Amino acid sequence: MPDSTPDIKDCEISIDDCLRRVLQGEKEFFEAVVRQFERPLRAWLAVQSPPGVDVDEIAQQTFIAAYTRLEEYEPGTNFAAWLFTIARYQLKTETTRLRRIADYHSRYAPDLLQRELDRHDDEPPEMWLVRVESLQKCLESLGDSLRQYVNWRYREEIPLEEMARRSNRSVTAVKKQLWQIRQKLQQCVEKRISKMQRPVS
Amino acid sequence: MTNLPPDLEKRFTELWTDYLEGDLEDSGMEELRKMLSAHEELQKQAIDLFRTHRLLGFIAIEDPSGNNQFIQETMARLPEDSDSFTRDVLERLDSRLPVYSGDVSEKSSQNDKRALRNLVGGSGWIVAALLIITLPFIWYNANQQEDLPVSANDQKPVGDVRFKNISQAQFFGELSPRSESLLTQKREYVLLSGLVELAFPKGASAIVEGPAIFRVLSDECLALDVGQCSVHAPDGAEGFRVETPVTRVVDRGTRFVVNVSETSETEVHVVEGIADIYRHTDKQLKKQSPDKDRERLTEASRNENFELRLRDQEAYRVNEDKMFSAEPATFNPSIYRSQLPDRVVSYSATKGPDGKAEFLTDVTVQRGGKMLHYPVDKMIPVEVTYFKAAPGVDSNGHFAGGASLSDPRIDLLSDRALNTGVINPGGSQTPLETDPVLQSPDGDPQGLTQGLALKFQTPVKNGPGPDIVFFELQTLSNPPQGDGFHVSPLKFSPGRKSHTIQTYDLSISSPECQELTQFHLYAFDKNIASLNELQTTECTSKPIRLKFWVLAVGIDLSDLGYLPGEEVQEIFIQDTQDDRNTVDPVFVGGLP
Repeated sequence: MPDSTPDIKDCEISIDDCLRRVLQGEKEFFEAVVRQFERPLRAWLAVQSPPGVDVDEIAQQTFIAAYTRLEEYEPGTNFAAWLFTIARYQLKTETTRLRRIADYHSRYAPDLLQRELDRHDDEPPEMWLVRVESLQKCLESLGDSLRQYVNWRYREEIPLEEMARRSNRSVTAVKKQLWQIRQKLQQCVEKRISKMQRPVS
Repeated sequence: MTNLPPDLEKRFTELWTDYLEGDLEDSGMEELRKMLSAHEELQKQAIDLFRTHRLLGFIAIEDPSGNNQFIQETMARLPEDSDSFTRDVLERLDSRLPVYSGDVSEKSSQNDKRALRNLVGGSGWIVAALLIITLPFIWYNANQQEDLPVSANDQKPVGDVRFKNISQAQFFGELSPRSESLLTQKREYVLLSGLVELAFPKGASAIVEGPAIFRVLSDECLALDVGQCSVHAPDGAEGFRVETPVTRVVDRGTRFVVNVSETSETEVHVVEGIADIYRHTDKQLKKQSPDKDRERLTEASRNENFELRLRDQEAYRVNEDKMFSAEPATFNPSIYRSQLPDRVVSYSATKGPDGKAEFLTDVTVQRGGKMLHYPVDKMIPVEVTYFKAAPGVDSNGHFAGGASLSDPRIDLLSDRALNTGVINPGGSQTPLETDPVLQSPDGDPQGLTQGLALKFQTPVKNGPGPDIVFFELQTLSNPPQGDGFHVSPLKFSPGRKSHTIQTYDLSISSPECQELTQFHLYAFDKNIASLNELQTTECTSKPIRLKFWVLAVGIDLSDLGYLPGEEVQEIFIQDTQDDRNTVDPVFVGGLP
């Protein structure tokens, strides 16, 4: 029996082709769209969202809203920009909802943080994918012992007290170590990006 | 480097790190806010570090399978088509935003959908922008409590017939409805398994047993296309009727059972009172009946207006295949159900930071037909006294817990947290018939029985219905009815036996089943063959991002052969090992 599954890879050539097929009722072609944009979208949402926001939930809502409103997208224009506009509205709706939760500000988000996040939202979304990739490279260049802290903190999500126990250091020392690691990685990412942006002489 | 005073920078480092770690107190937050307001340089630094922090979190959870999971979940959440999405939105507008309800009636929804489309297409960007803002908002709010596929029962109900009680009910293509929810008239309900009790406005009740297909035709009429129902129509509910493909059974103040086979053969058993059976006239069927078949009709059914009055302890079988026939059947009172089985009906839990179930607070159990409410602090806690996993290394580990493990670890099963437990014990396809072997004279663990032994702090008395409540965690890719397990006495004696549980009282499809808050799994590098190894072997934690639910089932000690009033202090749990999923107990408690 022939495989009736459409060749999704075809869509990598033109996202507009995929969108056209979706509009013709071939819903499965939307998967190629999700596949192409999920990573930059989630990365952008991760850096743009204050604590407490379920980034994947907002990303999924964005794709669903895009799918249901696809007739409004004008083929040939910038689909990524259109998608990120929807994401911006979705995120705004969610942050508004969170703000309405009593004492949210005092617990999670200094209002300044949100304001600054909004103010520094001037990088094109695809740039965040470059940052993700740069950060991955920078992580690889970290020494094993420092990378262990990153694993504990972000992959295993263990509490600071447990990290202190495992590393035989005080909680304060662990906090300081994390601060230094973040700074080091931040500087490394900036350096890599500025190198990329430097005009070839 | 910044040009800020070192002291200030040092303090900012402390505060911002505490903020990122979630450790910042209110006073610190105020100090931080002031600091950020006063120094733009710090704002930039804070944002950069915040973003690096978030990206590190993003990278940590990112792996190819994670991405695929996200993609598959997104695809699964897409509406069938734009029409259905718009319809959903309009319906939600109708119910949640009364300001619009006047424009959105059921009859005019098609026109409204078109109107909405035209509005979007032709009225410029302001309207479009408004819709972009409002639709996601409406959609988001509407979905806050609807992560699971919604029951088709949420179609607009007509009439006042309700699901009064539900037990282990599985419906085809939809979730089980909530107790007290209204049924939609004339809609077909396909009950695959389990039982539902329907309450009719004038007092009649019908317990339908799956597999069954039924419809509510009016506030006084149930249509049963296939399956069995037990009806009780008290005084005042006379005239209530059950229609089957071949009969119409009208109650005259009684208790009776109607059973309809797949060939539409209908049996009616009157347990008490009187019921009248009428032939369900079907003109098309009559026309097709050849004359020679008619000659074979029984005496009673020669009259096309067949009717028969059944009294106490009488039963009749009615059939209409090529011809109509009606004959007495053997009366069987045991098929009548006066109530749903005793079971765990619901539970309550506190909410974790993500708003999902965390600590058990109480359980409602039907025992001996009575609804009883048990606060968790009145339940009898258990202690894990033995553990042996199946051979090999279980990649999902043997503990569900928080970010760090409690000490002693095995307390995870007796604490009130539903996201902690001692999981994936070993088991056997065949339930135990003799005492489990918990000790080996030569110290060789080979011959020991796989499973989990539990000791109650004080003995549990065998009362009516469930005596023990058992909770486990489950995700959508696991069996929705729960992971099967055997429960056995720790000491066998004549009359005592193992009991196997395959279907939980509250399964993933039950509306009473709650989504679980975050937790970690703790995995081991080696096989865990003893309680000591479980307690002491180094293990690694992994935060779980999939959605999990908390299932519950009651264990009746009578099913293990204990006599009423007998006290039990220890039980033995084994996975049924009938699939690749293993039981994951997170809370077990005895009922006082």
